[in-house]
Amino acid sequence: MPIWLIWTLGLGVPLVAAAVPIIIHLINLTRFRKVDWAAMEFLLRAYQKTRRKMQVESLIMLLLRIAAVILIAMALFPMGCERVSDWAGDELGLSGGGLNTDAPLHLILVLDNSASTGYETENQQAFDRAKQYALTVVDSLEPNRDRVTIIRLSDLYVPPGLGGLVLTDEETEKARRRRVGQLSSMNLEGARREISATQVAAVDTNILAAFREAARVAESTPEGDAVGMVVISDFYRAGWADVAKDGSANGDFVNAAAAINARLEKSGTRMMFYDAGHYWPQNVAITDVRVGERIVGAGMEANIYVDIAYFASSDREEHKSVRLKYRVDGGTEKPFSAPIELAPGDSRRNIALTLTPAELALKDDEVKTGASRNIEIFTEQADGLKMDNARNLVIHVVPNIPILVVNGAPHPDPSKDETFYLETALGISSSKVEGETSDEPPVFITPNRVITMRGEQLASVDSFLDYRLVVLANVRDLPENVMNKLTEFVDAGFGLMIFDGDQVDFQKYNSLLYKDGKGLLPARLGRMGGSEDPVADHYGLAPGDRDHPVIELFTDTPENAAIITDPKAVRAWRAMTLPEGAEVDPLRPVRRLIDVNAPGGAQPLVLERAYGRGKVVYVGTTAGEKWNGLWSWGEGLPLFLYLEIAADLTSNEARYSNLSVGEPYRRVLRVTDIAPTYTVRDPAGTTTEVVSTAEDNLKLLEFGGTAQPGVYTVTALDRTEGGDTRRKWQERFAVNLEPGESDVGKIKAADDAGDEAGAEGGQQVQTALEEALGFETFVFLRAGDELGDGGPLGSEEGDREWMWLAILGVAFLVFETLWSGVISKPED
Amino acid sequence: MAEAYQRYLDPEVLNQIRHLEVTARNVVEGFLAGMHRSPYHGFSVEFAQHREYVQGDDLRFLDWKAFAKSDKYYIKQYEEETNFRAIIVLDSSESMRYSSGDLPSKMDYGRYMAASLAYLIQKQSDAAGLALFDEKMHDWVPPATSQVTLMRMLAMMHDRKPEKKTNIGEVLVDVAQRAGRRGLVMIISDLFDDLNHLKKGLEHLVARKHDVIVFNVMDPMEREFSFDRLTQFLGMEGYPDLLVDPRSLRKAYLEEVSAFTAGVRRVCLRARADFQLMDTSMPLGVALQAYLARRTGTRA
Repeated sequence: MPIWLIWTLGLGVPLVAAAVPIIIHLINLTRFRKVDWAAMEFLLRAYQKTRRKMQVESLIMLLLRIAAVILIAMALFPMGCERVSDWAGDELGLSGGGLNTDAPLHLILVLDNSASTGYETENQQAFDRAKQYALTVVDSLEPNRDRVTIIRLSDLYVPPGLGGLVLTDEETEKARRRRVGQLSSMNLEGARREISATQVAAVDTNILAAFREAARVAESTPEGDAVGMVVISDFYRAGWADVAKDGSANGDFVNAAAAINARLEKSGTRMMFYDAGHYWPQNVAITDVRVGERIVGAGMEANIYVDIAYFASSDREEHKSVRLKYRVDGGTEKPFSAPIELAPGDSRRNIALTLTPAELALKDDEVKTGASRNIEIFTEQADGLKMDNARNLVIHVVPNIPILVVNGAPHPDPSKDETFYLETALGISSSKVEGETSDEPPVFITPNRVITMRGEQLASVDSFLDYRLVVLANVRDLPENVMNKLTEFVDAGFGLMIFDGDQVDFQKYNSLLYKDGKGLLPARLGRMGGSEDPVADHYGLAPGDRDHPVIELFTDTPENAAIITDPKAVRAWRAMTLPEGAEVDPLRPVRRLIDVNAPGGAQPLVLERAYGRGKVVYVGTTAGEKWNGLWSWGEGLPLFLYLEIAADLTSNEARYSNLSVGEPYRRVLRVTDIAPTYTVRDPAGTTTEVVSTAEDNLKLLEFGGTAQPGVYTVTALDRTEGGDTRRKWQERFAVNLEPGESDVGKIKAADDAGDEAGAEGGQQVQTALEEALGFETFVFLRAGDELGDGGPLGSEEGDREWMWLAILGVAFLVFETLWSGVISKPED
Repeated sequence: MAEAYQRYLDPEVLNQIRHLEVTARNVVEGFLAGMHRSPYHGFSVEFAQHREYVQGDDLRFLDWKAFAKSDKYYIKQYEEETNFRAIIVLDSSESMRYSSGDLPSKMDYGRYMAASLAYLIQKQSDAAGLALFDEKMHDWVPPATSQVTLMRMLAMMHDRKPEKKTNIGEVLVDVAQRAGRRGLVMIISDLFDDLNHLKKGLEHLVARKHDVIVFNVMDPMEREFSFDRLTQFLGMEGYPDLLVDPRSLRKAYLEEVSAFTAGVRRVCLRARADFQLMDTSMPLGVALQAYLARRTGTRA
């Protein structure tokens, strides 16, 4: 709505309404009858006695009529009225602060456009109110004198040129955290344009960064100019909890505010906070959606886990019944949960949804390449903050993962064969129980397709690029050409897993594979530790790098940790020396996944290092039971461990599927993924070409700018010999809102557990700010104080109160009419 | 003169009060008899004529001989009795011009009333006179029994235009001085004057042994003040205009009127004058009938 119209409605309508009774009064004064009157003496005496009372009554009646008409008018045009009220608030904050000066004013307008400001009641977002007030503030400035700097609290950092930029750690951090957009020192028209164009962002609020930026802007303003600052926000916990009194960033926040106030004091102004947020919001949010499987292959089920939370004031005690639904790739909506009863503050984790193989089935043209599936999870009923009522999850369904297992020590007795158990573990491919017949298609448990060969067959392999993972199990001989192919294979972005054993010539391995830290092996190998004797002592294991995604799975609970620590089943292992000094590649550090509790101290047993685009995992014991009894122990450690390692080494496709808003997309391109052209289509349907970059000889596809929640599509386009382009591969990834933005409760004073809106409406927010910043350091105004939320006319129920006041106004006019026309009619 | 006669002597009114002929007379007689019984007894009354008995006549004056002869009841009338004098004092100040709606003005109402009473009085061979006044007495017709006098009275009332202020006190003093021997003085006025003036005038009349009846003529609107919208009241008798919402003023006004009426009653009571409020919305015949009936009841 144009501002002039809002002004017209907001100020004009009540003024015109107020004028109506006055005009009627004046017209009535001209419309009287004349009567010759004999008993004038009595009349004059009566008039003398009652003149003062009559004048007061008449004035009161006139004022009441005006008030009644204004109430009705304001009830009919609440938005406009709010603007006028806002304007009045502006006067309170700015003019009252001393901006009535001839000095040019530099207004710093901090505008919260975080996701939570999208909270909406009765078709009005908190951000609508924020923008209205921002425009009102700008309108109150002097056009040819004053200027405005807008600091948006929630701008996403978009690297210049989508893609084409190596994202350093600093850039990555910026992309994640620096969400303050500054639009410097513009004239009022420009400020209006920018404010009008600002939209609710799908990211959180960065108050501290905004205040630091504001302090910098204030300090850089010329001494002769006045500086004013208005902070317009919803004051929800999502953004403000960190800077509140007990918040982690309170100290820095107070320092930044003090710096700003020091500059404002020179101008005779005070910082002003305008609370545009709604009170007593009720927000059911889907806070997380994840898939249980590291890789989902064709024919597999996918177990989806959903977390939801209900953010609402505990004062309200309004319970919610939530039903969740889902759809795959925009297909039919299906419910998957019974109604979930939530009290304010409640959350539910791990609400399970199992997608059947049929729902994830690959189409004919996807069988070879695999495909992405977007699972959209949403609440049956949307609420005020629609942005978190749904989340997307992209699953890459792979056709199968070919794994080459090279058996260096085959044996007819499966218990003595080097890879029998390993093949079984990696190749668990169906839930179908042998001997049972069923019409149902088998449900696969892993996507792996295991191909086995003997060690001596290695030389015949032309290329390992047909596989995703190569497993060398106790392989003695590694011809040089095989070594070269394996190196190329790993460098191209695939996985290599090496098991040690009695057949391994460790010195040859060191020379061919370790190469003083430059080869595939993560460590220099030494002699065997322990004993091969089955009756020799067995030693237990300990988790190493707990942050490693594989080990993390085994350490998240004591029960899972016991899977590693319980088995005392390793009796022989390869002593190894981790790279030191010049052997250390800082870009590819060795990670200790599992140690063996050897005599004299823990020694590394399972190591991992990156090589080129791929990774190598070295296991310092046999894949079979020659050096250990892991398969017999019964705890299933090797089954789970090797499956997870294999999944980790082959899960490139799944790694970047699901991001938070602002998180950069980053994919190391395998050789087979490299293409001349890459494009990205964002959720709005805009397609942008991106270029791959190189980092440390690695080809990367990397870009930021994931500002919109939704599903993005990355397409690699190859060029045919004829010069045409064709799709080489395509994958999707989902970008979701950070769950913190869903917490739409207001910040409260630390020791205040009372009603959210406070007895006087907005009191608690003000108190919380006073706690954080001190008393008398700012002016606080709340949207709706003048008409709405919790003030005399306020809150979320403000409109309802407006309605009642309008009814009151009408009732008054009716009563007054009856009174004057009927009730007070003189008796006969 | 004939026009005035026809105008003010409404046959309907006269018909209504015709039967009051004796009653009216009885009023005076009874009144005088009650008040001045001993002087009557001392008079040498001379028989004048008979008239037919009507209910309410004093049986002492019944002529039993005539009844024996004619089998009809006759009352003996005496010369002295018929020589009773009534003076009608009619207010013709500007305030008497007021009327509301279709009602007659207070002046017209007073004219009808004066004419009817004079006619009635003369019809029973009594003498009726008239005084018309505002600030002062303008017209004076001494009491007489002739029809010419009645005609003259009617003509004067017809010609008199209501104007100027009221000064009833001075006028009543003047009437008292002119009236001569005692009689009945009937004052027809809205009495919008200082009550002290009224009191002074009444005291003069009473001091001269006059029987006084005060007819306070008021328009119903003056008593009820039932205006319902903004009105500019144009003052009469020199009072200023006033633009006011009458609804907000009504209560105080009625209190003033009530106080005024009570004051008039009090003044009349103290002066031993009879007081009767005459509402111009009441048909004159009915109002007079009611009054005379009440008066008879109280004086009998």
